Amino acid sequence: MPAETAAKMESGEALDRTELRALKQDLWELYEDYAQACDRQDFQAWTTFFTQDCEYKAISRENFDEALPHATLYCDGLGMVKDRAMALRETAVYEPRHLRHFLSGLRVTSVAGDSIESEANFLVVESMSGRESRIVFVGTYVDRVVRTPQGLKFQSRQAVFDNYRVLVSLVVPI
Amino acid sequence: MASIPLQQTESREAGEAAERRWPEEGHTRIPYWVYTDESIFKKEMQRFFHGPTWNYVALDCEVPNPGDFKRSWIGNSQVVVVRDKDGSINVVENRCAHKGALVCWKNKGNAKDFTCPYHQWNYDLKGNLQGVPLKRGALGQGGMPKDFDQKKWGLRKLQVTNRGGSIWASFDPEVPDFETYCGPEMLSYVDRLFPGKGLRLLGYSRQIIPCNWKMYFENLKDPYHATLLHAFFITFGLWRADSKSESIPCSDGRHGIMVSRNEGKKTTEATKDMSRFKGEFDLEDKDTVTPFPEFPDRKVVGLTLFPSVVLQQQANTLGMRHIIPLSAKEVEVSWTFFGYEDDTPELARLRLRHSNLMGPAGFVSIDDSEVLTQCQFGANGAEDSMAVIEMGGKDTEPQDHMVTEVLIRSFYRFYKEAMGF
Repeated sequence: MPAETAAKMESGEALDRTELRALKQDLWELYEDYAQACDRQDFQAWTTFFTQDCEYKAISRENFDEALPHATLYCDGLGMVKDRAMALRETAVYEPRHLRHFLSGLRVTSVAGDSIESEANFLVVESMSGRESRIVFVGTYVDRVVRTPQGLKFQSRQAVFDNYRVLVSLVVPI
Repeated sequence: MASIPLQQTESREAGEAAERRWPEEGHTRIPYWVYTDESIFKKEMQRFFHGPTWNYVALDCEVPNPGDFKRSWIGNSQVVVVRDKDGSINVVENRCAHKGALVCWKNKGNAKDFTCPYHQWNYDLKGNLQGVPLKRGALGQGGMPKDFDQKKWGLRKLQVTNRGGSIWASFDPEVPDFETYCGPEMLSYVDRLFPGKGLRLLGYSRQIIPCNWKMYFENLKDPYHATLLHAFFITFGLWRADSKSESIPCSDGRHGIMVSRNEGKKTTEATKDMSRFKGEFDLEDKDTVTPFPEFPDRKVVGLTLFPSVVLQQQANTLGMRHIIPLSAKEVEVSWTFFGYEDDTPELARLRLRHSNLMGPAGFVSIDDSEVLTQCQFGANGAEDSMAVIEMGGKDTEPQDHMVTEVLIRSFYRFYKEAMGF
């Protein structure tokens, strides 16, 4: 991100079209890199997208809309993110699967200081041996991204899934 | 509305179910056709879910105010749970008496009354039919016959019990009272979770598992698997074969109580047989496996209350796992996570964290959903074969350890007889 854009974000000044476009480009890279880490089931890489004080939730649309706190997958702090990655690598028992994230509709909903609020749609398709590929998740990310010396990171990422039910299980984070 | 007499029910149970013969070894065997045969599934829906049983439908904190409603399920029938004007709770079948359309189309909301969108037949919160548009016709023509008795055409009303804020319903007016249905031991464990203090709804997780509903029920009657499959439990001491525990079949075996204790991470003689014990791993955030001792008995409890629900208390996560059978080979498990109104902020925080153990993404529940999927694959096309349930012996007496399948044996002793096999 150019220093000038960063300075404007700091002061709360509105970004012009070019600056917003550049910011969206940075965000888009973050979103795509995150999706790729999930699709590769590289759980160690997945942990690197979050800040120390992060919150990550895979939460159903009904809980989100009703402001209910329970999330199907919930991490409060980077420690829990790392524990989730460890548990998936070392303790969870699940059938092998391939997953693909498809992203669309990135929008920036607010910029204030170092903090950017953004959203994008996701679609996750699962493929397993002996079965047709199928859509397992469809929804919207509701995110708060912050600038850090290591680049953009998620301080809060909520994967709000519209599908009423999870098909079998949610193993790989969305 | 009167229940369907058993005689009539049996005469409609045509097809394969009538031809099935249980293996002669009895309740130590489970023939795989109980998991695959749609005619048996139909019979189970009639005899169990529509029969003289109490089915979990909601928590009263989900419908706090008069007019608040929630849709729910009993077997494969949809019902509406609604708080009446006087504060009591009614449960009615969600099916218009006229043409069978669902009357209520929203999962939750608040209503003064219910109107079927199709022909606007209108029902009060008790399910009584209050209005039929154009009942007297228009311009002197049409309308309902003179002998049409509005009182006879309400929504189907169910029996309702509220036990400490947990709501139960039955299609059968002859159902024994809830206390008798549970029996004293199960009732004491229900009351342990629902002592009558205010409940706080935390949220839902719902999943479809492509397995027979009984497989899910059995899984919570099986402490043996939990000591082996669930590496997360074993490693972090939340469930281990060397914990003090109990397996208590209740009533005629239909219900079951499974008790354990949180032991913490440790290495003992028994860990050498737990090949999935991962001594070298530790958590960054110990809160996930460190329960606040909220119950004086320090127990961890899984209750299977036949036929519709598993009541779960593991660490500080409390949940109702509502079993909604979709077909012989598919079940929806809807988890309602809750706490109490008087939870401290710290306990409320732990409940959310500990719910990571459970549900479709649960550190341990993932294993179950995945394994049960594989069990159904195994059962499909293996109708001439059977499962063997002899761990911990062949009898059905309560046992004070985990290395047993006594709860499953007791369940199938009940099932075999109830289904007439």
